[in-house]
Amino acid sequence: MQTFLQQLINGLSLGSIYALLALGYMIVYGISKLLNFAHGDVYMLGAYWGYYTINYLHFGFFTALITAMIACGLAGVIIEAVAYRPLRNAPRVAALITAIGVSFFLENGMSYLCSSDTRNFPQVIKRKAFDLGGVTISNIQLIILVTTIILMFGLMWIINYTKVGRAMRSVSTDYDAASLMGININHAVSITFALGSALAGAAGVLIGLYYNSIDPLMGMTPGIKAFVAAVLGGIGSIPGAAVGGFLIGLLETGVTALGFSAFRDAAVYLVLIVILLVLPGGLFGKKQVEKV
Amino acid sequence: MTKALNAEHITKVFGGLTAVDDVSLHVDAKELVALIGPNGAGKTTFFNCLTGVAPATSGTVTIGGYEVKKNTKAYKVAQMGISRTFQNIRLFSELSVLENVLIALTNQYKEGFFTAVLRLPSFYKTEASMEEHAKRLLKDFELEDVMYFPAGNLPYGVQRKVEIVRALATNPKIICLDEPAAGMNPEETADLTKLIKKIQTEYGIAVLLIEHDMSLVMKLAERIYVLAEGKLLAEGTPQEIQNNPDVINAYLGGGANA
Repeated sequence: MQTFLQQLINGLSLGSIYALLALGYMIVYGISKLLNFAHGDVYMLGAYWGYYTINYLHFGFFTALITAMIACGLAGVIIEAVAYRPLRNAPRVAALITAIGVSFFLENGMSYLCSSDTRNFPQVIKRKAFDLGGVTISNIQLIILVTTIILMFGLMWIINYTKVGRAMRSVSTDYDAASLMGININHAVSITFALGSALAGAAGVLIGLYYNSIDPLMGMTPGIKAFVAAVLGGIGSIPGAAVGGFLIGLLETGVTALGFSAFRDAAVYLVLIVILLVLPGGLFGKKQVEKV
Repeated sequence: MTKALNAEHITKVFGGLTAVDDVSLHVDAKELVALIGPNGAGKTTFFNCLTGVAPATSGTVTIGGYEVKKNTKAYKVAQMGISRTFQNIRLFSELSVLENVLIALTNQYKEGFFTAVLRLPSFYKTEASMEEHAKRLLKDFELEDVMYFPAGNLPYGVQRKVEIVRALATNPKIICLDEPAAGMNPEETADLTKLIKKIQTEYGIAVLLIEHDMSLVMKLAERIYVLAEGKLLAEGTPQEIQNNPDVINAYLGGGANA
């Protein structure tokens, strides 16, 4: 029982990271119908931003987190404007391949600029463990969970209760109709990329703090796992992406705890295959009803 | 008086196909004009040229006296005062009816960046007056009962109505309706007739109407343009059009020598 609870906490902390990434993936997909494979690499940029600002500018944790979100948000906007916007009306495969290209560019660009060595993420917050009846939870895990939950609700609030969010939702249903209502599509898409990438940046700083090591290729696997989480939750659903993220985190720690740590990535991909076979709409996804 | 819409020599070419061929048309302020023609005549393409969705290959469009410059984005054209509905309804189906209208109102209620970010009192004031405006419109068109329903769940006839109200909410000088009566029963069509009349008389907005339902067109339109195979075939009052042999030919598909 204790081990179970312990793994639950570990799984939720890891799952929050995936949830943050999956949310960004999802909103970007929702508005541009583009699987942004570079999303995981924006998360890597966030981690590096945290590394440099904390080490060299002596930022505190929260300053690093917030500035990383701003920096990654900007990076997202630039990526969209330079790489994806010219392809908005191109076939989707073209945009998809461009996304893979952007991902390689960011990974190898960072390897070139900062070397491909794994680095230790500075521990700005002293790790403390609290013992709750045999189950330990560290202050870092708490920070990760709380930050994730705040950011998730913030995102939902922006999307559901603000004018910008309303414009974003209208654009994601129908580009042409929205633009004929006088909505500037480019603004709405830029803001969506900014929000999604800011969440990825936050996830990058948090994971640096949690796992304590960063490298230029760190974004690849979590990026794909976040995609799996979004599919699991149901593409198009914000709560779905969050729940999917947590479930993937739990699954991964669960598999590790059972002693199959070598297979934890395989387990995630197995879930992807099963979901696509059994429940292609995901847990919270909309059912595709075809009217004849 | 300035014309609500003036389109001169509009031509639209897709590859080797000339879908709209040198069509000129104008709508005076507060006028109700119909654009009719057989299927594939280029009516919807012409609408797309007007609203900037698929800009014309050549020709000029003037909205309320201001010329639409080349390469103006569709959202800018919309802000100049033209609004439209679609042949197949294109509401934001997952958003509520109220939200659909609020989106159309967005441009008339601009806030500064800082008032929005800092949520200053003036921000809430604009938000509130925007919502009030939307509700007033919905009430005027008897849609207040369905205002919180997702637009996509409503019956077909009601969705059409919502789409028209949404187009109206952008505060246009001219509103273009693309086959609003398609798929409606006679009762719904009668309601629609009143609604279109109301837009023209009470709101003082010019209407350009594409429609196949001739009884509706003859009842409403002050002037009619007939389009066939991309070219303007005739122009005139409903009476003149009804008795025009070219028009009858185009509709009945008479041969060149018939």
